[in-house]
Amino acid sequence: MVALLEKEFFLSEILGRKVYLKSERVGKLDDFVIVETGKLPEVTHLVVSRSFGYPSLLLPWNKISLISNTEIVANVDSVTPYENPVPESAILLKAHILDKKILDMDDHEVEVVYDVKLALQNDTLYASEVDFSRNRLLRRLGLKKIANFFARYYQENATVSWIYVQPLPEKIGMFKGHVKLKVLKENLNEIHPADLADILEELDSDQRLALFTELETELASDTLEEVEPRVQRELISAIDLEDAAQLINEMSPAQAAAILSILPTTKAEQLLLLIDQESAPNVQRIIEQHDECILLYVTQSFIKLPPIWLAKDVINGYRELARDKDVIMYVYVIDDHNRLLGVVDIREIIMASDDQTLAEIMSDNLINLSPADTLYDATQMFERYSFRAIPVLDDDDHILGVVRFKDIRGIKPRLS
Amino acid sequence: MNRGKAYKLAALAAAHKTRAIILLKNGDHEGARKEEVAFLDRIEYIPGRLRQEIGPFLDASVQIKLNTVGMERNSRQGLVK
Repeated sequence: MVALLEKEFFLSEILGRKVYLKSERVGKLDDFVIVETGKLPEVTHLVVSRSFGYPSLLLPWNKISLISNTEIVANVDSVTPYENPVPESAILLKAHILDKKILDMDDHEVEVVYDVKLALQNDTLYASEVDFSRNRLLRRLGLKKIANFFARYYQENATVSWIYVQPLPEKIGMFKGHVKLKVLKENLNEIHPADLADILEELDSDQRLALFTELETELASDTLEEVEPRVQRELISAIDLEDAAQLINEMSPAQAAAILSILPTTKAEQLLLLIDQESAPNVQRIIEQHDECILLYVTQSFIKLPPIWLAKDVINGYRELARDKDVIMYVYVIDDHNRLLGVVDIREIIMASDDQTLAEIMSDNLINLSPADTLYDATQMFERYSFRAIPVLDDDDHILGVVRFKDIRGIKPRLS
Repeated sequence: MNRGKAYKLAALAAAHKTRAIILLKNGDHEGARKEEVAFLDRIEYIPGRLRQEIGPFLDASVQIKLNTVGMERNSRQGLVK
């Protein structure tokens, strides 16, 4: 049974407080060990630092009998059983949480944890909130009057319940829990790759790798395409070759070439041997020969239908038509000889009457690339028209493939 | 004119032709006549070299539209010769 003068207090207020074993002073409170159990983490141990080179103590919470404004008293007779190092896997409030970054998933900003609120309930001490307000920072700096001034005039709602603050991976000890996410870990895989890329760029190396390895393969691959080259290099270099090859296999040859071209030659060569051998020659050609012929960047996986199809039949069968296709936002209307007649945006099909044929709805004013065009030409065309995909046609309007904007975005053409 | 444009005109022509057939069946001769005129306007723009190619498409378009309203085409009505 522990006696606390205040049911709630802040971490910064209690750190450094003198610790007594019954009546003998032994050291100062250095940190708390917490374990995540359900909604709020519980304090399990106190870390007590001692002077003159004596080892720190790891005092179990259930041995603490009193926490007052000036002291902490433990109901133990001898220090010897408690001269234990802090386990590697332990989460420490001061070392791992205080002053560390917290990612706000709503705003994608990086806040700093200035303090942690602790609350006693049923003899258990919980970490209930993290505080990243300026008020807490000012108090920690000893500027209480200024902090009170701000509190009176500026309402700053900058605390968040620990319920929304989750550690990243389960092996939190590995990177010492420097980051907490303001979203449940299970939702990580629902975040858009572009947003994940922003987050990864904000983190330091250990945190970045820990987050990246938690992602599902397809999401990791998409996210890798979005991050800046420096971060791409770092991540690819840090993971196993086989895992890296798996990520690269999820990409188009264009994106794969863009990533491999920024790696050291030996690494790129090793990866080329491991990636899917059907696309490896294309990737290799793009990297080595600076070949930027647009046909290297096309996909054959798109929806093509004859002009006689009705809008309602396209809508009804869309799920099957679009399954496993790379380009699903457009329907390419072709004749019996695979010649492109027109293009329909899926939105136009949805807006059309049920009995309208694709031929009635389609745009016959074709904007297309030709086989002789290069990556540069494609980039120019995407910039001009803002399409999500552009078909490549030969002189007789046969459709040779479709270039997705996604596949060439961010790639700098070397030839112009 | 590109091929796609020809198909589009044919599709629009088919819509007029379908409406003409339906109006005629419902006894609206005046309305049917107007739709036939619109049909011919569309067809006229299609170059001769493409008219033959899109003929089957035009017929099929009319038929499929009639099917959606539960009607069959009574007579063979292809392109105007």
